[in-house]
Formats: sequence, structure tokens, C-alpha cells
Amino acid sequence: MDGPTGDGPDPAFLVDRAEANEVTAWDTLVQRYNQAVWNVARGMGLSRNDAADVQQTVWLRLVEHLAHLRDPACVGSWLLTTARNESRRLRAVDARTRPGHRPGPDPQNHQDPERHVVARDQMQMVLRALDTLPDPCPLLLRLSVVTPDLTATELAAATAIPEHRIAAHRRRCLQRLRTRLDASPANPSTDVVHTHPGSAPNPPADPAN
Amino acid sequence: MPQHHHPQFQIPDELLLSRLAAAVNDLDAAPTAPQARHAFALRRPDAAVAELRADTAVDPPVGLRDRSEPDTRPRVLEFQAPQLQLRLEITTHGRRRDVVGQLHSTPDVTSIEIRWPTGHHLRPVATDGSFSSPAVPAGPFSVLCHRRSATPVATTWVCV
Repeated sequence: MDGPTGDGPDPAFLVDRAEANEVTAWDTLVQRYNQAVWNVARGMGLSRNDAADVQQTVWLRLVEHLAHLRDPACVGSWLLTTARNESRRLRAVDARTRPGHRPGPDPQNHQDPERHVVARDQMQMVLRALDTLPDPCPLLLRLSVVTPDLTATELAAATAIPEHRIAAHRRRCLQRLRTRLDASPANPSTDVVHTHPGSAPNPPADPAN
Repeated sequence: MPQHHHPQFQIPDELLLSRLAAAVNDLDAAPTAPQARHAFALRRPDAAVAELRADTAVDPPVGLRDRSEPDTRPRVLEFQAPQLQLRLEITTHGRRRDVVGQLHSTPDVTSIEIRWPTGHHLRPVATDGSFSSPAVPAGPFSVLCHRRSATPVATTWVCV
């Protein structure tokens, strides 16, 4: 459970090589954890601007701490904990200067003429439903789908949920999302979402399930 | 499988997860990695790190919790390294930050470098250990203290 994430070199080795100034090792670390770091910030309700600031801060923190990590094998957990702490800090800054303000989700609208408009609307509805679920669901579900190869230890670091309760939380969050989507006016459970090939399989919902 | 209120359909977990993956990946992917790659170029392995010890944004002074009015006082950050203590006051003007700093017990600091990912200001230190830097962009920033005959000390990066 505590082993390296996914395939490829061991995280402790990458930290060691990055510390020795090997930029390719650094790039591999970024490639492996960048989406997760971003989704911690977004899953904690930060705007894209604030999430980008957190993302950059987290990598700068790792740069300065490369030589001082207590356990280089746990660099993933370290990155996600740092992302969580810095996201909370930015939320606190926002609450301090704008009391009562709760930043809403603001997905970027890429203009893609080849994409089916209906599919885009439905994806936006799914994202909106996700980001308005109670904590820790947006965070937990984002990490589950975007970086499914995170270890249980890393997920626990990112969400502050004990490892043995993550599966139960995820089940409950999925059920909440399902209920939220069923209550939406354009219910995607009865429509097939058209996305480009390779994005995601989209068989019709199975009534028997 | 828990009971579901919808009489006809229950989206299978796998389908729901794949839709979620498509939505997050297509509409809300992380900005491309150059910024994260660039972080490596800002590495200062020669510098000691001053850790963040206090931040009034996270731990507001007693009596200031649960305010309904915006707090317009400067945000105060305190950093500490073995031989250096640093107090910073950050004032917000839109996306710009003004920084006023005070060094404690560090007579050998010769100058201050206010750093952010795309630039830096070099500032002199007054004899009483104070310094200031206007117009720092919002986002991550760090203060690098150059010392006369010792390794420099850098504050850990913090978003301001």
C-alpha cells in the first residue's frame, strides 16, 4: 500500500536525483504529481487562479526542501499535505479579506468547435454537481478519477481521512453525486454523453444495474 | 448497493467515474507544467530555509475571529531560522502586495532579495534591520537574506 505510485522510478530515487540537480528526475516528479496537487486545491474550493498559485507554491516548497525531506519515499504524501495546507491558507486569506465569500467552481471554458455542445454542457453539469458536494467529496472524487494510482497513504494525506475509511467515504460521495445528478433538470443518467474517442467509455446506462 | 430513490436507473459506479474523469480532465485540467518545471530553476541549494512560524491569516489575533467585516490590517508573517528571525507585513492592493519587513538579531545581513517566480527586487536593509518592497505581484514569494560572511537564508515560499 505504501509503495511507489504507479510505474516508473521509485520516488525516493527521483528525490535523490533531483537533489543532485538532475532536471529529468524533477520533471518526472512533476509529471507524476502535478495533476494531484492541482486537484487538491480545486477540490478544496479554490478558484483556478488561486489553485495555480498553490500549485506553484507547492513545487517551490519541494525545491527548497529536497535535501531536508524526512522520508523521501513519501514525497507524494508530502506534496499533497503541502497542497492541502497551502489551500487552507489561501482560503483563510480570502475569508479574512472577504468575509462570507465562498469561491464557487469556475471551470475554464475551452472553445472547441469539434466537441459536441451537448456533451460539453453535460460535462459542465457533472463538474458543477461534483464541486457543490459537501467536503471532502469534491476532493476525494477528483483525486480518485484524475490520479487513480495514488496510494492509500497519499490519499489520506491529501484528504485528512484515515486510510481505512477512504473506501467508505468514496462510496458515500459517489452516491451523493448520483443523487445530485438525478435531481438535475437534464439528467445525464438517461442520456449518452458524447466525448471524443479515448476520453472515456460511454455505454448507455444499464437499467438492470 | 445502497437503496436509490430513482425508480428506473442507477448509474453504475464505473460509468459515473468515467464521466467524472472526462469532466475533470476536459474542463478543469491543471495548467501545463512549465511553471512547476520553472520552480526547479529557482533552486538555491546554498541557502538555509527560514520556516513559517506564524501567519495572521490562519491564526488571527484573539478578538479578530468570526469578523463579518473585511480585515484591512496588514497580514503578518513570521519566519525563523537558527540565526534569523524575520517579521513581514503584507498589504494588499488588488493583485499587488506591498511588503514591509523587520529583521531581528541578524547584524550580518547586507541586503534583501524579494523573490517571486518571474522576478525579484533587491532592497537595502536599514541599520535597525527594517526594509520594504512595494509592488510585489500576488502569488508565491520568498525573501532571500544575503549575509556578509555566512550562507544566505531564504524564507520558505508562501502565497501572498
